Amino acid sequence: MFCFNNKGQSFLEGFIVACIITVLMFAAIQVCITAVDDMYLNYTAYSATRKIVVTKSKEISDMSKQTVSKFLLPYMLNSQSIFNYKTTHWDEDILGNKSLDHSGKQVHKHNVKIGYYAKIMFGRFFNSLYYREQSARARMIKSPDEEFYNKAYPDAKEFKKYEQ
Amino acid sequence: MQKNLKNMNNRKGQVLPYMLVMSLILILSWAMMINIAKLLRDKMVLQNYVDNTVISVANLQARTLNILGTTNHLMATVLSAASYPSIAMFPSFSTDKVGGSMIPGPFSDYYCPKAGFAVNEKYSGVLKIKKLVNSIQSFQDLLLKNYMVQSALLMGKIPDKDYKVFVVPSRYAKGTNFMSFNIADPAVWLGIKRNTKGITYYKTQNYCIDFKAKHYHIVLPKQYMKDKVSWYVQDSDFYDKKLVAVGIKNRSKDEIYPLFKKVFNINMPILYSFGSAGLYNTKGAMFPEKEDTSTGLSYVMAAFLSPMIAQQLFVFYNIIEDVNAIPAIGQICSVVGIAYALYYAEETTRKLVMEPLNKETPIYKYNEAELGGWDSHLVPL
Repeated sequence: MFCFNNKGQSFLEGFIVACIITVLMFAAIQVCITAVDDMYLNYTAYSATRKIVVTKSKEISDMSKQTVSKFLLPYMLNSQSIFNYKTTHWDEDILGNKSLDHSGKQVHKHNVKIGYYAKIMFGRFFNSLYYREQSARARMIKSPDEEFYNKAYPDAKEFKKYEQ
Repeated sequence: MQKNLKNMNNRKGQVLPYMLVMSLILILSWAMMINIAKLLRDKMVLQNYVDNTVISVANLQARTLNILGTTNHLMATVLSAASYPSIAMFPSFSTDKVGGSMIPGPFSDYYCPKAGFAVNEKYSGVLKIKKLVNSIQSFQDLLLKNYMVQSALLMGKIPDKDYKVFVVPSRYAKGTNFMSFNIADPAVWLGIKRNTKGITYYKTQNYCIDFKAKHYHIVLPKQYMKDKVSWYVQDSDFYDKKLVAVGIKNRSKDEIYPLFKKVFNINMPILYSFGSAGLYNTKGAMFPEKEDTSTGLSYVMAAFLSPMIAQQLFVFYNIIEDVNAIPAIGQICSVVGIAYALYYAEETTRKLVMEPLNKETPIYKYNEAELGGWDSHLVPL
């Protein structure tokens, strides 16, 4: 008798379809958030690397961390989709070779890597890990003649500092 | 009634409202994400355009300065080969006194028939020097014009019409200074100017006479022509070799971004980006600091000139020997001759030794900075 009752059939169908659609929609939104996070973090890494390559070596020890923090703090306050980021900066030979410029000075490649955890929506329903480990990275070659960042030739006056 | 009940039992479209609401949320979320992503992309692209443009213009400027330095050196070397006829041929190494060269060849105005009396005024050698110097100056002007055209092309090469990048020397980058920037003057871009001390060219008057079965030759100067300018020297702003680039990304009228701009009445912000590149030479400036007439002397040219000077001294010795043999006045005349020979020897030796060490000459400046060469890199703002 109960088996032949058709009541709630549509509700059940609708519920199943709605669940699937909801999951798909949130998955699509999650992909978008992940893509934007990735772009922003890559841009942050690029900005930090760019700042490093125009700064004298003795002043760059914490520069990558400072620059990344400056970029990410407001972003994290707004989006809250990333957390626990870690910035690493290192320099290395280009393609493993000791590359020299025309005046015989060694040229180095500087890397900035930002490792971070990206939150996944409703991640706790599926896994105790509700985040995904991601990283963004940028690399640039630094000028080997950093003593000329502020002047054009030996004994020259220093460049005027440009203030925006 | 039966029909109405039948309609109420129709369950089609139950999920539709839910779908619509969720789709709306999804579309709005996507639109927001796409707008943010577009903004980020625009900012990154703009920064890349700015960096690439400023480093390209700086590179072009560095290459231009290198070639200008080389041509300056060439011009000064040609002028250092000139000499000044004053009884004997004196090496001049100065743009004040440019006569035909004492080195035999196309630049020489030294003419001697080797026998008999002759008076001859020659200027073909000095004219060749002048033509060569003027050709080098024209080439330098062409280089600077090429620099201007290429810089403009680099700035205009940005493929997207909504992006604009302007590169100016940093001293002109601020608002008020920008108005005083003469964009059409390439020397202002490079911080160099022509040396206005000018070049004075002299003809050589050759006087020949036979005396005691020997042939003697003296030379005297006669002013020929005067050029107002010579090589390039540093201007007061030469040290400022930093270029600042300002990039602007305008709103595009036909652009669809931001998505739903009409619905929510929103606009993409106008984006700005800044970058700067510096030119540098690790060894020196390559251009003389002050306007001066000294050309300088390369050791190769000194090697060419030394035998000629020795030859002149040998002529002095012969003249003094012959004059000394003249009765009554011979000894007095020979003393005058010895004095002049000593003066010649002292003057030429001093110039040959001291001129390569003169630090304010285009030849010295170029030799000093040649190994460094002008180069460019990104620098902090």
